[in-house]
Amino acid sequence: MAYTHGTPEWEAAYVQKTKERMESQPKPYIYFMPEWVGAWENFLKADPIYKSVALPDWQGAVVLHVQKNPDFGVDQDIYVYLDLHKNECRSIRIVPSEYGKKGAYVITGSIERWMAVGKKQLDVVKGMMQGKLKLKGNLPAIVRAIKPAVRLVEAAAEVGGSMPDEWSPAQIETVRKTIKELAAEFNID
Amino acid sequence: MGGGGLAAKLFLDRFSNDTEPLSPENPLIVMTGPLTGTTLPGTSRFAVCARSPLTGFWGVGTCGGNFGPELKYAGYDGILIRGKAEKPVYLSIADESVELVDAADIWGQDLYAVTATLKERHGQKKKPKVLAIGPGGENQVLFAAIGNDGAHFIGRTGMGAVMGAKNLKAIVVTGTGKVLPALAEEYKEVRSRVIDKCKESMVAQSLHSMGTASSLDLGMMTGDVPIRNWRQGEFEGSGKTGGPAMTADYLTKEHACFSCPIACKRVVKVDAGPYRTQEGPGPEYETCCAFGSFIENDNLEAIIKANELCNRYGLDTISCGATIAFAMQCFEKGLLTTADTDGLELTWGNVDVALVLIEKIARREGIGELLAQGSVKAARKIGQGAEQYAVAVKGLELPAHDPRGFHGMGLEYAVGYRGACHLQHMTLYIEQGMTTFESAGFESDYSGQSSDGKARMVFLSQNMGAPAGSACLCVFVLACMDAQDAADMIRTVTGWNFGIADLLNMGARIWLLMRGLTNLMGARAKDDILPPNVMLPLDNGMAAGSVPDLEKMRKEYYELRGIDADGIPRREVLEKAGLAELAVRLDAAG
Repeated sequence: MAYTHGTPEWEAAYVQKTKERMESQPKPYIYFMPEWVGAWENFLKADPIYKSVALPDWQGAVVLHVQKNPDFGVDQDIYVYLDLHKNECRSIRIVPSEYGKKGAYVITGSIERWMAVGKKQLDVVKGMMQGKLKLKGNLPAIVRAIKPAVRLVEAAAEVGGSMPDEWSPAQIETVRKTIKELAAEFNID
Repeated sequence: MGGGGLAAKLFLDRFSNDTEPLSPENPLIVMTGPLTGTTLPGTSRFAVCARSPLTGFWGVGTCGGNFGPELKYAGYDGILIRGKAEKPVYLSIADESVELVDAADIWGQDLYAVTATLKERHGQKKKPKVLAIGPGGENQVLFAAIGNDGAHFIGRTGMGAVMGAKNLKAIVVTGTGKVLPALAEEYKEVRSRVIDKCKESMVAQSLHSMGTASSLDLGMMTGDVPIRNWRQGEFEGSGKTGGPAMTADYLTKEHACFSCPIACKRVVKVDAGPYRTQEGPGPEYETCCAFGSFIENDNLEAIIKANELCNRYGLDTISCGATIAFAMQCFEKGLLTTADTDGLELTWGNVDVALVLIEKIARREGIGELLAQGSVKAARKIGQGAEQYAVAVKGLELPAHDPRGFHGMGLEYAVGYRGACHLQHMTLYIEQGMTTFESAGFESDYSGQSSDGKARMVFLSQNMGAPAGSACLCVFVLACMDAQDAADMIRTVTGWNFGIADLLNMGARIWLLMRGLTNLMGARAKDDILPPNVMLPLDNGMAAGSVPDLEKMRKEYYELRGIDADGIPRREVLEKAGLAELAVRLDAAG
């Protein structure tokens, strides 16, 4: 049965799925899979640095938009939605594209670009300046919040994970299958 | 090509390098470039050049706005002014009609007032474009600026003082001609392509939405922002003085130079209170630092006020703020006391004193007489080791980009032909990652706090920036596009067969020409240095502990550029660049 995004059932099922996968999947987790997103969420919720640099008046979700790349088993775009409120990370979820696109700040990049960010080969601010990552949203607000924005990315790198260029053909097929199952179960198109 | 490069060639061919900067013999050269006045993005610019009274070396100031295109429409690529009027005059140009007009009634007026007066007086058929000086230029403050329609400023190297020394209050121009490209059809395609890139670029979007001051918030994250006369790494108030704050609280509208899709200029107003201003040009990033972090002031309203005062008096905000920060450090160290400062307490953060100092400098009153000479000359007069607190290269105060955060900028400042410069090259944009120009041979990424590979980066960035500057193309627009686009702009306007290699070769020639001119005016390797305040590591901030390895970078750079141990370009390098005459002059000068 497919859950409808925005309902308590969707949320409960998603949390349960993440919990199960965090317990069952081997580490390092695969980047942008639910277990990795869950680990990032836990990290940020407990991160004193993020709490100290985040703006006390911040409002608006930040969405990382990962463009599809079938070569890595990612057959559809992925939207990772960070629900940030004041100096708190309330949740991080993989969400339907329709919802993800509505985020206050959407940063779009190819898998290769996000890999470079994760490996600290591409500074996220430079990436946006050079057009390697595209930002949609109110620029003055994001510039004012540049410290917390950078911390979000640093935290993702600190969580660590398995990068697409490290995946074996079997793992690529596993990613493909996982995304397909998620899409079906959580209406993530 | 045009701009500062062509002005340097004219100076070299016609004038003595021993010319005293404030003498009638020093020519003031206003020069457009081939792109000026076309409808390509970012082509409003022009240069004003002379031997600099601030540095004693080749002086170049550049500017956008509308004056350059209007001069082209009147039928002129440039203006060369020599001599000195017996009494104050202004130059009026309307197509073929050129006359010097008595300026007795406007001498003494501030820049906003004189601009409004002349626009009204000469604006019956078409509003003219006006270059003018304020009281700062009249009084020959060595870092006096020239205002362009009261909204854009030729700030660096004291060109306003040269204009004042000629008793020339203003240049007023109207023109009815056009600038047409040689290759009209291709030109349209290039224009459309570059406009699209400007719209796409986050650099452009950031400049459009927040102005250049958007760099302040980002710069605090990278160790770029100088604080407390470059001796502090952290400044809690920085967030109150940058682009987002200005946009939220004081912006009344954006403003664009001629034919620019970015519109980075701010129009701001402080409605009430002690720092009330009229609606007018807002402070740039450099000004936000010069009257903010340089002196540890976090009051943006006061910065806007300082900007308005400098604009009205016609002073370079960078040199003015930097000289005040220098004076504050001298005061802290006991080298200046209230007995020297007309009773003023030059303490950190005391922006009200800074505002008083601006007026004193412009009028050369009291302590202002000393500070009107810039930090380096003032330091020599103060003595007692004050020189170590003057943050300048070749007499030009550093703009607000810290070489400890970006080592390449340190090399750029050190070897620059006009002193510490942030605009006549692409180093700032390349090293900070705003653009890459991989097709011109740059690496895809540079680490700011490293001196490795920076000599080549600076070498290339000068070769890239010099022709763009001489063509009179805005660096912000250049940062939004590729090297091929820049070459295509020049090719379609001029009709020359022109590619990236030509661009870089021409850049090398222009750079060597201007460097050679500065050498003729006395610069040597001993002048290619950084001041002590930036060669000491900071204890805190994002660049804490970092110091550029200037010796290594300079040695590598001299080899790449073909400069000898005395700091002079080698004869064979000059000859190869088509500058044999310059080589002869340098040989003769010893």
